[in-house]
Amino acid sequence: MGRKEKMAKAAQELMHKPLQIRNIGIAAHIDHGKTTLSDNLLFGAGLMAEELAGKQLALDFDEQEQARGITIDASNISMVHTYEGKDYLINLIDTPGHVDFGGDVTRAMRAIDGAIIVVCAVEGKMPQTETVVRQALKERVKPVLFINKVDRLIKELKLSPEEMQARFMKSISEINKLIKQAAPKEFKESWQVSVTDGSVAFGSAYANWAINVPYMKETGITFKDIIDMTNSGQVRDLAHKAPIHQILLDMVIDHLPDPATAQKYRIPQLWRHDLESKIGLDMIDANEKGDVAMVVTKINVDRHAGEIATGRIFSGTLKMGQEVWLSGTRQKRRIQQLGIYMGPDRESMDEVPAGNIVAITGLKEAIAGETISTGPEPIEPFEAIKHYSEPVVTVAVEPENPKDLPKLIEVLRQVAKEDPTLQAKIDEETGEYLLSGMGELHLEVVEYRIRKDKNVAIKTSEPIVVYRETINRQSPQVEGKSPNKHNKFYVVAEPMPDEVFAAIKDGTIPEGRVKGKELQETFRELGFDRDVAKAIEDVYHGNMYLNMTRGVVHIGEVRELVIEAFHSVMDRGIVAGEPATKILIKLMDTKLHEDAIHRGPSQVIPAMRQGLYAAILSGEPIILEPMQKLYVTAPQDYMGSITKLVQSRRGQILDMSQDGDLTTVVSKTPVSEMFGFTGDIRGSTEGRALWTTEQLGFEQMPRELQENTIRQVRTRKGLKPEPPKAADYLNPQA
Amino acid sequence: MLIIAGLGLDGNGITVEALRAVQTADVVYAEFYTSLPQKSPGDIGASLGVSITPLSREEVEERELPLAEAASRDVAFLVMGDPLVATTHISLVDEARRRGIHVKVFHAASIFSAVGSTGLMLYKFGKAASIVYPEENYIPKSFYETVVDNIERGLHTLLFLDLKADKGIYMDPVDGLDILSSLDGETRIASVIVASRIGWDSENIVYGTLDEVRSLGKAFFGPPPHCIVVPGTLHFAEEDYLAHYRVR
Repeated sequence: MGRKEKMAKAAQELMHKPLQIRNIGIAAHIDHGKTTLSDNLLFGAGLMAEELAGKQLALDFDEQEQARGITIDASNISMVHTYEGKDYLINLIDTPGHVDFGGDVTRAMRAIDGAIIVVCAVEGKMPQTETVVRQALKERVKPVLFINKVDRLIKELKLSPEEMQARFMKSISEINKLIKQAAPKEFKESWQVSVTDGSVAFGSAYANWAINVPYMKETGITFKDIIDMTNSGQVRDLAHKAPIHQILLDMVIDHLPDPATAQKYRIPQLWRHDLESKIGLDMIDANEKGDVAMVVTKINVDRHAGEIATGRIFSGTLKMGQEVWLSGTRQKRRIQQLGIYMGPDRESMDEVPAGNIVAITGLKEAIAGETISTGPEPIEPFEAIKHYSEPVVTVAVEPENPKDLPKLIEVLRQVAKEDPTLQAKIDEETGEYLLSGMGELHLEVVEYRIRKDKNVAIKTSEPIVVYRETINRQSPQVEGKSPNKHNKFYVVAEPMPDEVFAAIKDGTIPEGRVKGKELQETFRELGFDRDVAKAIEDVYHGNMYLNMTRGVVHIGEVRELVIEAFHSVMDRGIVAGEPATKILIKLMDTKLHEDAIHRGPSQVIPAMRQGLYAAILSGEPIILEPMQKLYVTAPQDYMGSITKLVQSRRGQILDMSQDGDLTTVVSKTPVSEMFGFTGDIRGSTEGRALWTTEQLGFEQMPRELQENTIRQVRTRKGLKPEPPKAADYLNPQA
Repeated sequence: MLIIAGLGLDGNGITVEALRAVQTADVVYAEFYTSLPQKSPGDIGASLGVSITPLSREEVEERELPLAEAASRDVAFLVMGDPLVATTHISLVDEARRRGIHVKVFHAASIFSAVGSTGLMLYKFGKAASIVYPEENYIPKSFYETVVDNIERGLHTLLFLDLKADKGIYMDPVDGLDILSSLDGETRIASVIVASRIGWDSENIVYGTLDEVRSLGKAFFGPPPHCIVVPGTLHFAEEDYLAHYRVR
């Protein structure tokens, strides 16, 4: 029996012992060394040769990932580790660090209970470190800290032991401050990482070693020893004295929770339904004898196996051939195969119990975020997985050979399913296939995949920025009239207050229909009067619909049509056909025809749309553009050229800082000005700059650029360049 | 001037007075989207001795074509049934008056009065309503509530059936009864009448319990137009007359 088979066998036994399981992830800023660390852990588990660990990047399965040297997909792997004489099953998910792939990180957090946060010893906490730590804490994932690339402090910066410790303390206190800010109340203190209790480790994933204070005490190794050994080329010895996989996996087992413990406090956060119900209790107890409750965190499309859904089982035991519910579609599907990952390979299992991460085939309609269950009825779904950023860049895609169109449509459906931060849709007016993502790089990667993995030759347009439409002031009450003139809708549009919009974005107010009375208190706290709070019926893409009417007898019968019209106008704004956002729509009153035949869809929808258009156009409509925070780090000599480049792209310098010879320029720059930045920054810094971005959401575009942008967008969409005016939609008598 | 003239129940029921007015008009429009004539528009035109231009709902309601020339010429607009029974045509007259156009209306027979053929007394009808097909995001049941309100007050209900003339959709009475039955969980509806093609050569009326009438099947009822009546409390004279139509 090979090592891998042995491990699969051990894993099969450990699966049923929740106390001996850890579901963990590694999360970090790009290039801080996550994948290198994962490889080391694989090596430790005997799944990779020692010489390759740190170099092979085995979790970067994708040829493309290896070529680019960054990780794109969150991949996972199970391994067995022995700690204090006991075997443990470690399910590890590797997550990408580039901001363009942020969606994958968010979803991976749902599956795990603990995370190793990796920071670079030289750079410390970076913007995406903050993003991923916040994402982890929001999903109640407990962190430990690994400070990587310590050899750079020794070799490049030549720090003394004291200086090194001072650096560590700085990184640690930054992370602890973040945990204090973002952790759930009950964990703000207990989840602080600490050098003395061993929840912080230092090391070099590249050189295969790591150490923490308990281990230093146990072995007598000091910081001075480490510096000496690194400088004298005895790194291999160091790696044998303090092997990174052992130190880190010990730390994981010691400080990160087992699934049974974690589910007790995670379930109330992830599944906000009746916790006293049978399934609620089974999930809290991680009861492997209960009905199955599982959440899908990722879909991969495998050329041979088809669609593989990876996810976390919270209750029950999933079995091969079993029928399960998909809560999204309320349909039953049969599990064809299930298994766990051993690196790039899946090991088949007959059954996998609660507390584990599993890969299954046979769930054709499942999407990331889907709730899977057994039992007589599908269970209530898990909380929607909240994405921190939304697509800001779009390209039009067409097949080189028109014959491939059906294939392309299927492939677009697949890639959008594998990566829910992508949106694929058909522009109904131009017939173009549009692919929207988080940035230029994100879309380039997807295009590459379509060509390479899916074998469809495609042409793509220049990337286009996605804008938003909103309004600046409250409209007067305007009227929308139905074609038969017998139904009238009186509408007011208002800018949504910032606090309300923020509450929608962070999930405090969920998107969708407002059901029951649960949210009334939240609405009141956000400043809505009692009567207004009660009128909120629907939250849609950061907009709200309020039914302020009183005593309209048949309002219930047309309610869905009114909301359908509201959705369609928010999807395609009146000014430039871009999505509307941050608008409150109030239906103040309505007059309906007496008979149902005269107030159907063909009457109500156009009437309501007219009212919405008139209201929005009377509310000073404006265009918002996506912004990014841009961090450029380069030797000081280039500071001038970086500042110049940033400013030439409408960038606003927010901060400049210096560390040794390196300068970091932080700026706020419109996404529309970022195209081709890679080439320009390389040119103006002779390739010496490192840069990253962070999404900042949408902000009002400068006035002088509004008109031109609107005309451009409209022309591109085949609309006449002039946007409509309120007068075009106002009824004379209104 | 705008001349609005009713064509009666089958399209041949124009009054002599109206016919004279229409024959002198400069242009003659007609609509057939509120009901269906027995003969084709061409045949109707031939029998009236005029050439008819049929208009769609959109051309009448949104573009208001009959009004376009009515300020300077005499425009006739022919309508199935009695013109001002349809709420939509009142809007047209309203708009014409606003524009200072002289309007002359010629009434004709309508199902609203011809439903007397069932033997039910017109004095005892409550609110009328239409049974409509459910559509995406639109599943009305207010017509059923209307029926129940009327029954509670002892009144009859005249129910029109959904039609989308442009798509050739005319609700079959069996579909209408199925929809009513699906809403009538508490069996408030004791009996129903289906009145088919009233005023036509092939006029037919049946009366029975909802299930009896429904189970006659679509073939039995034949082509549109149809309407359904849900009787309220019956007077003995009504009861006696309805016996002629009882399902056997």
